[in-house]
Amino acid sequence: MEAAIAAGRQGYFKGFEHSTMATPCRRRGGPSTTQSDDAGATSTKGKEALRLSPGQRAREEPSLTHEAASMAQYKGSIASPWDDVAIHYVLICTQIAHGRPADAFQQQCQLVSSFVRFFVENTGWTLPALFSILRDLRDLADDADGPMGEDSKMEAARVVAKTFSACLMDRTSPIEESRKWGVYYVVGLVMKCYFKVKKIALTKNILKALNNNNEIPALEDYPRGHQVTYRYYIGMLAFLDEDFAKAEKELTTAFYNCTIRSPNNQTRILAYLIPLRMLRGHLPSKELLKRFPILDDLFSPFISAIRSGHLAAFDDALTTHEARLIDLNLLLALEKARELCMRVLLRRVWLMLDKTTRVHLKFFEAGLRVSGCEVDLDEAECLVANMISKGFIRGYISHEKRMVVLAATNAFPLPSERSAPYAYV
Amino acid sequence: MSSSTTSKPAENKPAAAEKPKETRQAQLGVLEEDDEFEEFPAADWDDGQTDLAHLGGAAPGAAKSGGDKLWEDNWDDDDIEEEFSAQLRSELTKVNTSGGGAMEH
Repeated sequence: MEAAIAAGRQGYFKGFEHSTMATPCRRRGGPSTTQSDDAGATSTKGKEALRLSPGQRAREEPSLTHEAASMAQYKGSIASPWDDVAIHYVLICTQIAHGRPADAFQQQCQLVSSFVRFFVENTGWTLPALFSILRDLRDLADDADGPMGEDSKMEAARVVAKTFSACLMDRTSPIEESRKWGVYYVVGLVMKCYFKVKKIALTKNILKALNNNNEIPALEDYPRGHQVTYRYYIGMLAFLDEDFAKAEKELTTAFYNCTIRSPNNQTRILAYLIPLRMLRGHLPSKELLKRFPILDDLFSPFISAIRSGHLAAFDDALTTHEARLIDLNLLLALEKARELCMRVLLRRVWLMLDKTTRVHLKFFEAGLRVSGCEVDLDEAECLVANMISKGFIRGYISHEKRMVVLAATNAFPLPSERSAPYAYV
Repeated sequence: MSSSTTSKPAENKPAAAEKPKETRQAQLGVLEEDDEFEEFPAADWDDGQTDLAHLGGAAPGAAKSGGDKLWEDNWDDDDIEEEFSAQLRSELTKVNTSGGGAMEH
């Protein structure tokens, strides 16, 4: 734990320039502190900037007050609001150094609000700095909450959501300098916050505000990083909502636009895209799986069971991976993919009967039995009827004769050729 | 405690160390529940750094995977021969002879 805090602290001191204390990522834009020279009018306000939250006062009053007071002399030494921002920043560093993540987080909230006062009155040139301090805010919220808490992350989400409005409500800047170029990044960050605390329903309001606004540039015109993150979360929301068609569309676009330099993010996208595409009848190629060993491990048992029509092997894979699949919210999608396996089994029975157009149900029943599916003739009939209704088999069942009458051509269409493949899942 | 979720390196996480018992479970690595979509190393990049080239100009998510080598939309294999095939064949033959009915009508 000490090591973790020390690592975090070190990262933070490297600070605004390149990385956050949490994610070893390179910052795109300049630090808010170094941009302070360019800022506007001199400060006359900001007394509240150094005010401490009640929690801070209760626990740390002597030292914090002292720290804050000692910083107050620097007020006005550079243009407002950058003096406030800089003072907050130094105090945050001090609090992190003293192992007070909750105080650091509260201080960062105040830093954001000082910054936003400048932000809303200017064009979007400070967007990189906004992104940077919001990332820090979220990371500090994580540290303040510890492994179990969520209050700071909820608060962080609210603060970030407020800056969303500040981005969206830019009616004066020329479009190329508009604060609107920040909306997708900020929305991505809000969704990240709410996903982390598993309160995804709370994303609805901000997404509604985003979708109701038709004055923002097209998503495709934003930096790819913003697009991909946004589409990943929209795709995930659709997936969890079982809107598989939309989920597949968003995650497909996210995957193909994602940089190959972020294989971890590609893995996360594919973890959901692969099952979605399987349901559509597209299997991931060996070439794809080879690039992502984790996904290869997870999905290969299912894929080889589908290819051979071996239901028992498919069910084994479901049982073996059940816990993980539940954690990843993937169990339902893979259970539905079992129909592909069933289709291959029934097709193989038909192939072994030399592709006859009439197959007695007892053969399908036998095939199901060999595949580990103990059914009687009625159950077999029911399963075949389902496959017909879902477009996996073209034909009909003569119930009196217990006979499946198959189309003379294309009796087992490719699953990828079915129209509206998600309509039946 | 606190920093553990955020200060860990994004890659090469010792996922195995956390769940030593489940040796044959898939090692989920970056897919561990705790993990999340990462910040990109840069805000923007060009086509050359994506998988778009695999599409060969087709729209992503088209019904046919076309030249996209990452997916297969026609994977029916009419000549699989493995243990399961043999079992299936023998069972079908058994049903055919014992039931007295011809395979075709």
